[in-house]
Amino acid sequence: MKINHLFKLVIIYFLVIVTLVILIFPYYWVFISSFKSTIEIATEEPRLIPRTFTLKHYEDLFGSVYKFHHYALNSLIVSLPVTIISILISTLAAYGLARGRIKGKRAFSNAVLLSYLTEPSMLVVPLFFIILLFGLYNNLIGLILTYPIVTIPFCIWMLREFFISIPIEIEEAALVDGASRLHVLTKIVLPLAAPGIFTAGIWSFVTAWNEFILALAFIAGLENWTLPLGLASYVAVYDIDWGLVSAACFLYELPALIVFAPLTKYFVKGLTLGAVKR
Amino acid sequence: MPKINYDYLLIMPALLWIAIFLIFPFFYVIVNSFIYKNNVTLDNYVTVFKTPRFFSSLYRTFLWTIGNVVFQLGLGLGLAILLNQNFKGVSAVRSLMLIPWLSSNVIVALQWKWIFHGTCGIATKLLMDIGITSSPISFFAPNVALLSCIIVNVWRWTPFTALVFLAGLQVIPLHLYESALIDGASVFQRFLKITLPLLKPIIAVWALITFIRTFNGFEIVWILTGGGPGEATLLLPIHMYTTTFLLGRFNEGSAISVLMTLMSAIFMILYVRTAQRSE
Repeated sequence: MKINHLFKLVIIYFLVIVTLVILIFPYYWVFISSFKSTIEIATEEPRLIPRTFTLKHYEDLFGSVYKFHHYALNSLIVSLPVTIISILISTLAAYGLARGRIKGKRAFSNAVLLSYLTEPSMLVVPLFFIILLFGLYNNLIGLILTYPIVTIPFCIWMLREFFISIPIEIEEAALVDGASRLHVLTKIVLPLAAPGIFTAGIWSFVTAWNEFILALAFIAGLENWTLPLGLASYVAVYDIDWGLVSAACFLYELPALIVFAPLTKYFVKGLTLGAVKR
Repeated sequence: MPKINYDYLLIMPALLWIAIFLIFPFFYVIVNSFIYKNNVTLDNYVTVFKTPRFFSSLYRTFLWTIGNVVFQLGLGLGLAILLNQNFKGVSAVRSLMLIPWLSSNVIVALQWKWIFHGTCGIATKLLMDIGITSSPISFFAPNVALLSCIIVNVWRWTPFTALVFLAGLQVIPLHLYESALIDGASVFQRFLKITLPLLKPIIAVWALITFIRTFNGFEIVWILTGGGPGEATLLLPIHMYTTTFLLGRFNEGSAISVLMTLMSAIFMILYVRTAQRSE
């Protein structure tokens, strides 16, 4: 019995380690490649431990050719307003869905569910016409207005779960005392739902930060490129500098992972259940 | 004084946003797909169906989607069972599973494009070192490019799928397993008779979500291969994108977009139904 148990444990650890290696390796590989000299990358056998060390790729990235900082700034200009719009709209709607006396609630929640399933690639052609109609082609404002349609449905969904989990008695007591719905929302419900709203905000930011196909279709000039477009352009040349691309990947992912690391607990619970439950 | 119901104001902004940026655009594109040179016509659809690339890319998209769904769900279920075991650091390992999901599609694709590089890539080198192959592998050769793309997408989504299934596993009451154990049921029997039936609703819903997402997947393949070499990885969304934005055939592109959305809509409605039933 004891040996059997030990055997099981060995297998579990073995499988966990294999999983982690497969999971982490691409990030490790990009990380070390970003410090290898271009000559090592292009002419030598790939090594797991680099032979050379250089910061040249990072210097190049912030130079006048690759303009990583410029694209990052554009991405920030888009992602921050998208986050604010998403939080505002979805908090109100989620609260309305969780607590409001609204006719056609079911129809509305089905509409939210359907828009949650709508992928950006389904939206790109329809939204392109709206962009043209509003005269927002090659304009970052076009991205700010269209990205929330990707972020809002999921945020409403996640926040609705949060609001429902707050005991309704607290709110009813306040309403009986004569407080208005708005008062109840701002003074009682929002503080309790703060972790959920925070999570929804971070999620919206990262989604906007990562969005690619809409930007690809709606932005023409490279002065307005967001970071994903910039990165894609680094490999759209004949002579790809993989050290540089690796450095760009590493810098791109770093902020998102730092922001997310302390939040993973919320995410594992909130997202996975929210994704399948209604 | 009649009491005004302010609750409607709460959902108004969301409703407006969905109306302007979702419903209206879809109507617009449907109308546009029936217009060619200022005439109301079916010409755009005729053009779409006359292009062999449409059907070949549709077929390829189904291969790509089914390959992804099968591997993501199969491996995801296995991984979920592994993460449901008791071992040291299990919660840290679970958190790490979010990393690929948090990463941008663009980054995932770039990383693997580099790993799968034909001459300087580490994948080829490692496989040669282990002795699986003696000559360098070109992962993006016409006959294997689609498979390579599937591997990358499976890598990206399997860990998150595992977390979803894990959430389902954790609500299965333990006493079911205990009484099965007393009855002498084997591991395999417990899996077939308890785990799988109780997990079925989540698996069904997640299979539909995965199907819709993958069927409309664009970014990973676009960065990895751009649809090539030749048409080896030309998926329907890529065909739609190139027709519309690179060739500038907006009406034809609208028609493809409408068809793509219609095909997805079947699965979306199925999803809403399934989700309602499990409520």
